[in-house]
Amino acid sequence: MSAAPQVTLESSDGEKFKVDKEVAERSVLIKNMIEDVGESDNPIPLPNVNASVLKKVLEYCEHHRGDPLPAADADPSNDDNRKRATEISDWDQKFIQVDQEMLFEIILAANYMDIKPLLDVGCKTVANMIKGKTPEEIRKLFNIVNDFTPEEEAQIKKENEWAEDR
Amino acid sequence: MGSSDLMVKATPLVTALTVLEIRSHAVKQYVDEVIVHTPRPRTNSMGATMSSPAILRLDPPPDDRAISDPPQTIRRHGVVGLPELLTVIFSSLGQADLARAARVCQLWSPIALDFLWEGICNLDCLINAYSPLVRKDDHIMHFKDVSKGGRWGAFWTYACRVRRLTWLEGEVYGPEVISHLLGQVANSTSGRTFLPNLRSLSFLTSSWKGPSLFLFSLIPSTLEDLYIKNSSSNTLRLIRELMTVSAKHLKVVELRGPQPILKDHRLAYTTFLSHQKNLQSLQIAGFTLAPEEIRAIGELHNLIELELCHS
Repeated sequence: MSAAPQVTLESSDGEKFKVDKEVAERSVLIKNMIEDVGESDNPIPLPNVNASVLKKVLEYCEHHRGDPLPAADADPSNDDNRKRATEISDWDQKFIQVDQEMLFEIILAANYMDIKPLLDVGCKTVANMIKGKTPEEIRKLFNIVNDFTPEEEAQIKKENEWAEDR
Repeated sequence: MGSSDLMVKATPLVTALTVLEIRSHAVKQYVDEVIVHTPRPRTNSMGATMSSPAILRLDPPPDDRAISDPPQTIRRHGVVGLPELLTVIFSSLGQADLARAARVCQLWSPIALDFLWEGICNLDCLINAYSPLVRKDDHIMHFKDVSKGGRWGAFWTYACRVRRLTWLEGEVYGPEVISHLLGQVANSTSGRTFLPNLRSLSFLTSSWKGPSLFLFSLIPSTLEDLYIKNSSSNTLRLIRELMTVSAKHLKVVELRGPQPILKDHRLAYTTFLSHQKNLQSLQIAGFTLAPEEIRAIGELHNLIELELCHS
């Protein structure tokens, strides 16, 4: 059985991961790096991603290795795209059931490694956490400091009240 | 210049005291962060960690904080503190959630509002940002207290966000509202439309009663999509009005209206079509086309999609 071409990735904490090239190339960053540098046995360094996060990201890439790549300029106003935007597949939903810190790490890694479908899954999960919550509950959830004066906050509320009962 | 004024007024002692206060405040904040948010103690022994605030008080926060392990708070805010990621997150929120997100903090607010105001129905929300409206006995809306002047700045920041406007059966504004707003628009935008970024306009009303002057002052020349779906003769009035507006970059037009009977109505229609040289998609329903209209459509060289149906 002839082995598929493989590449080695190196996490920020020095751990090496040997994966199929096809899997690694779900990341546009890595795909471009391989194209620029050419085939090489040297590990590809990922200084912004630690081993535990990279392991998780590669698990996602492995599961989605055969998926068609998303169109670069998908029109978000298109109905199909919008519908897709609210749905997360069962496998992805299970995959992304992690604590908030890991969720944020995955999103940052997906953003850095340019893996758009994973970035979308992560961001949709954060959006679902926001849904139905009051501003105060959201601040508490994400440890955000309220930098509005009470007057400013009241003014924004007043100007956007039309949207709140929808 | 302002700071030198301050220096003259402040005695050296007071200045020194202020600096000390600020420093100790900054140190305290830093210590809080280290203790509360850094999971691993910075030193090996508990005793050393406990005594670290004292050391820090003598020594202001080191500048190498960014280089060494950042406190966990900064990493946490990475996702909900990066506009580029917030844009992705907010793109799957509905209107009510966007309105609440806009009140979370100053970083979130403009991003959430951009999404919320991108597509609006009628102008009630926009006009209320300017000044609250009250309904009078004649069911016509008037400003609450127009003599004090409206909040033009708020109105304008919201108006600039609107890209899609859908006109449903809605409020009818009194002449006072319209003339006042139009006057403000003329003064503040040097004649520009008051929805400068509008790209798509839909009329889904069957009984358009509003003043056309007001309506057509909001259509910018950059409008790309126009949908008129109603079943009254107002369709024709709208089209005639549109001809006087410089919306000549329309790409998508969808018209559903009654059969035009009068000759000048048909002429208006033909002229409207022949002005739309950039049109890519045209959908007409509800009436049959006259030969001159078919000729006008034939001259639309950028047309990709054409749909004609009887009803």
